[in-house]
Amino acid sequence: MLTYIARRVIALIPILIGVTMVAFLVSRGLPGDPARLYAGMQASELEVQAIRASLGLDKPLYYQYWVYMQGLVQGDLGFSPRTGFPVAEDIRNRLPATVEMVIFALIFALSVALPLGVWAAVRRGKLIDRFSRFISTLGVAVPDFWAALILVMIFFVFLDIAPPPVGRLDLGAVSPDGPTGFYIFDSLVRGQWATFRNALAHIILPMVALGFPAIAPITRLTRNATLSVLQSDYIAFGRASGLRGAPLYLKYVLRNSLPGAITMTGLISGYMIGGAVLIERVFSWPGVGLYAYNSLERTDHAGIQGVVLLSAITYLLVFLVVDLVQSIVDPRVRLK
Amino acid sequence: MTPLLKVHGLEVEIEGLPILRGVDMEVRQGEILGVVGETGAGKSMTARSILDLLPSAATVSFRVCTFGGRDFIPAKERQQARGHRIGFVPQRPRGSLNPVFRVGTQLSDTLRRLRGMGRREAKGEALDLLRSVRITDPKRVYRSYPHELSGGMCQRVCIAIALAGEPELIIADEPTTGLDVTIQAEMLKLLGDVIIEHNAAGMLITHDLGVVADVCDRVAVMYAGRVVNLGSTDEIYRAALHPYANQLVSIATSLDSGGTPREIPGRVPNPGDELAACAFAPRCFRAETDCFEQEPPLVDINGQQAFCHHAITTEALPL
Repeated sequence: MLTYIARRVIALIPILIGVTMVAFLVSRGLPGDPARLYAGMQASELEVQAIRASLGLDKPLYYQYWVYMQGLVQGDLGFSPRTGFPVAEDIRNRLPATVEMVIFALIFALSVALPLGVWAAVRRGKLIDRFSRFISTLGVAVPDFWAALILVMIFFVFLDIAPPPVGRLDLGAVSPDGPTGFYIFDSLVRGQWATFRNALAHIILPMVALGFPAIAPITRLTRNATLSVLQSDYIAFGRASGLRGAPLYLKYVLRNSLPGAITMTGLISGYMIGGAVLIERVFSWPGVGLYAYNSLERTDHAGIQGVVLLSAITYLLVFLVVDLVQSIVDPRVRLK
Repeated sequence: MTPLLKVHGLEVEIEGLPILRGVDMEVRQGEILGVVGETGAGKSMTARSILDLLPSAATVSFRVCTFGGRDFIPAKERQQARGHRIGFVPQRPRGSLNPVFRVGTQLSDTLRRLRGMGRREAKGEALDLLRSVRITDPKRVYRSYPHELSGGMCQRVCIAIALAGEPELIIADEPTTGLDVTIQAEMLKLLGDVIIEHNAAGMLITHDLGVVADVCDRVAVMYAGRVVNLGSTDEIYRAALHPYANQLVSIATSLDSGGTPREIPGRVPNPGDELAACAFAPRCFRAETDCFEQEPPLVDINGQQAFCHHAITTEALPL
């Protein structure tokens, strides 16, 4: 197991080098001159030149890449002139916000999608099956940011039962001084109940908005997998041996229907970590997506490269985790 | 003595097509009944009707169905009997065990469910059950996943699961399908022995009459959704009344003695085919016009029953 993981991680290195090249070239190809943006509209051409030189942008591309890679192997993702901090530090500060939201969104999506998928398959063609198809279609048709806006409108503007979309806590609230940066976890272990409740209230709408589109594919995959599992000899034998009801469906059926859902969940979580851009924008969620958005807007090369690289690493690690989980769920899957 | 299981006038239709057209059979206490017939005769359907395991498109009706003196016509009764009063041994044993759980987990889960045992007690009992189906290293098998075991080993585990609820009846549906030919006889012997050891009765469904001779006390021969001949194994082998059963036996015996069997002409009717009054008449060497026009009568000789106009009684034996 451990050697398998080590081998997989080593195999990631060439892929990641490729990713750095693409990220580097794409960020250079973006319109906008970072030196000009940084210097401001009033600055003279001479000042812009000076800034360009200080950022190293006057050097040839291959040399800039070389400098970037030299830093990268030492864990230095470059410096963001926009925020005034090293990119690694920026990301480290924002990643927990995004990851916390993604985890909640996944828990929400799975706890709806898995039972719904199994139930829809068991009662195929019945009302619950049609309801699951409706939810699936809705999930595909409704963009997450639009869902986010509608949720804010309904639950904050009209009903006024949700907190305003101002980030992870109320404005002016003090963040918990926990070890992980996950507010809900940190406030819980520190026993800061007011903060805990506040953080929980703030995460509900983003959780639903981000998780809702994920319900669709997971439900559909689970439903289809369950349909074929229900046809299987082992379920027929299980029934003949007196298995039925919840133990039959939630243990013996669901475990066999999981592989498709696991792969899909992996894909979705990879996408969410790099791609919750618009959701974070709507909820002013101080995460990686918002950072990416702002970096793009200001042609912040180092910031963009950092986020792309993070996103790539997340994807690759998620696939590794998916494979490990598959091998735990299904003993016939061998890790090679 | 009242029979353990009594089924009378069992009819099954699937999407308007008649599959079973009035099955009558009974299983007595402590006996093993063989149910034989060609594919499509309705053997498995009969078994599945008794356990209420038919596809939802099927409609089932019994004239009589009792089990241990209890009315088994309500579907709920039959569902509750699964595992508890009636154990089931499947065909294709490797596919019949859940691939993602250890064999031991599946067996102990069954024990905990059917007999309300605790975790530890169930494990001990599971190992005993594995031993009782002649598994020499029960601990290893207990820890194994189905794909790590041979087909024969999986079938032993399935038998252990069927025994877990201490059932009064074991129904085995073609239990040697999907097993190597070399172990089929051994598996049937085991099944027969285990049924006796656990004081149960058995219903063994097979298309192999040779198998029946070794294990079963009585035989029901099915054709096109009906039992056409029912009697003790000895009687059926010595002198089956129904021409169909008679020919099946002669095929089985000539195969055993290495001869070339004389095959039965024609083919088994499919559900929905137009049937003569006696469904076997078009293929029967003794058929006359009455076979096509009138329902065959029940013939009962020496405790052997057959539905036939021209049953092969000893006086009338042509050969």
